[in-house]
Amino acid sequence: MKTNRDHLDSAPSTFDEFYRARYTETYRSLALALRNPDLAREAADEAMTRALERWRVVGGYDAPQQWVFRVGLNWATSRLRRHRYETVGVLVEPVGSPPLPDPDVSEALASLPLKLRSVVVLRLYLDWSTEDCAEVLGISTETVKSRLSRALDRLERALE
Amino acid sequence: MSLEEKIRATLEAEAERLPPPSALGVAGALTPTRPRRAGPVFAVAAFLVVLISGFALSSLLRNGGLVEQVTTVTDSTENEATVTAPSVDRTLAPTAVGKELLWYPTVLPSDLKDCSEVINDPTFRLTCTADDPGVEREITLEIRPTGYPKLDGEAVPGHFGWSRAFQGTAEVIEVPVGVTWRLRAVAVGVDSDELVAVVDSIPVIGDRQALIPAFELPLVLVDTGDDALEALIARDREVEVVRDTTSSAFIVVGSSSEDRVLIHVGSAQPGDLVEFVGELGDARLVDQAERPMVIGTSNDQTQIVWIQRGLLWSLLTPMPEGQAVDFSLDLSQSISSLP
Repeated sequence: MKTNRDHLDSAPSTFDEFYRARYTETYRSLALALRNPDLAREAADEAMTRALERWRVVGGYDAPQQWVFRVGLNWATSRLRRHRYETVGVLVEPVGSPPLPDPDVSEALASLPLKLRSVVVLRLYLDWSTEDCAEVLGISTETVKSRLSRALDRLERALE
Repeated sequence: MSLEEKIRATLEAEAERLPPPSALGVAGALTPTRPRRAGPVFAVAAFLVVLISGFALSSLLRNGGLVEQVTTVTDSTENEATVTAPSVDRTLAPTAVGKELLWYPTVLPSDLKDCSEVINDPTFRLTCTADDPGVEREITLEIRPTGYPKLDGEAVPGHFGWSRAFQGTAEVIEVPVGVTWRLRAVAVGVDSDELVAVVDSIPVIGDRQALIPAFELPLVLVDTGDDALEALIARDREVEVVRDTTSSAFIVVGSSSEDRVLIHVGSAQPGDLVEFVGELGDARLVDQAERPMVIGTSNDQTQIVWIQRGLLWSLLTPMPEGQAVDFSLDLSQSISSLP
């Protein structure tokens, strides 16, 4: 099965290639973590801009998309803090969208705090390793495991 | 299906249902292969777009605090949803300092209410401590020249140019403000995330873009005659133009010690206004100006600086601040109308 993690080993050589390959994934993963597509788009734009500005360095990283996600998430959380906002917790549903497989799971995910939901998105949507998640979020691998465990516990209780 | 499989399936379905970035705003629509500030070809257009969308987002976020409207467009159908934020940040609050200085934080931990300022030229220092004397929590922010020893620390993830070090019980973060200034934040008993958020809330750091002027048709000073520069000032004022070099000039208005205005005009770099934040006392932005204009004090006089038509305009006067602002806004309007 092809997962998002498969892309980690094939870093594009130019920013243009990177942008084309990674923009949508970055935007989507930020939107899933923040539950706010508008803010996620701003954060993805900001992170990609910063990546372009220092592509000579960022382009040399093993996985520039991790750097971009981290910058985007930090930028968005700073913006949220500055304006005393918590994320809105609801993803806007475009008209004509297919139904969700399990709306209760979506609702339970929305009820998680951002710190826990970020780990869930990185581990289960992007399929990043515990070590990669720790690096991106600036926390220890033990904290990643603990947050994922707490998130799954809360989700399980919410779905009972 | 296990819980993890259910979550994966839900996240993937949610991702597919997200509105495409191009439906979320003008900037997204302009970025087929590059981000919004990506290249010289559409740098000017993108800058305007960023400015507009930034103001829109900023005003949206500042507007009330609890209700956010999200509008998405899919094909020809517009769908507007109003949602209520479930909670607000409980650890940071708007700063109680009461000033809108460009290097003051706009948020602080809510218990750090006791703030004092020390001006020890050329450094400015703001210290905020916990209102409970039994609690050892404190943040000190200092803007200092780059000639001071640089912090030997590690990079702060996600914040380019920031460095962080731990010195005993204190955490120190240093951020370059411009070519000539750095901001150093020292915190005791404050969570790292809180400290980063406080530093990032400082306008000259977090909103630096607000100090970068939009592109305008440049004015070539050497091709602009003295009479044109004199004509920028109201006809009832005594005006003299003095050229100090081919690329800069002084415009001296009035002669009395109360209302004399000294204007210097010369070449500009986009980051010049950032430098003035450390240069001026009480540096802040002029309200309701059409472009970023920094106002502050220098040698007990009011100084206002801005970049217009590719030139740096600096006004120094002993006039009261309100009059100096009115004078600058009138002058800026006259500069706009120069051919």
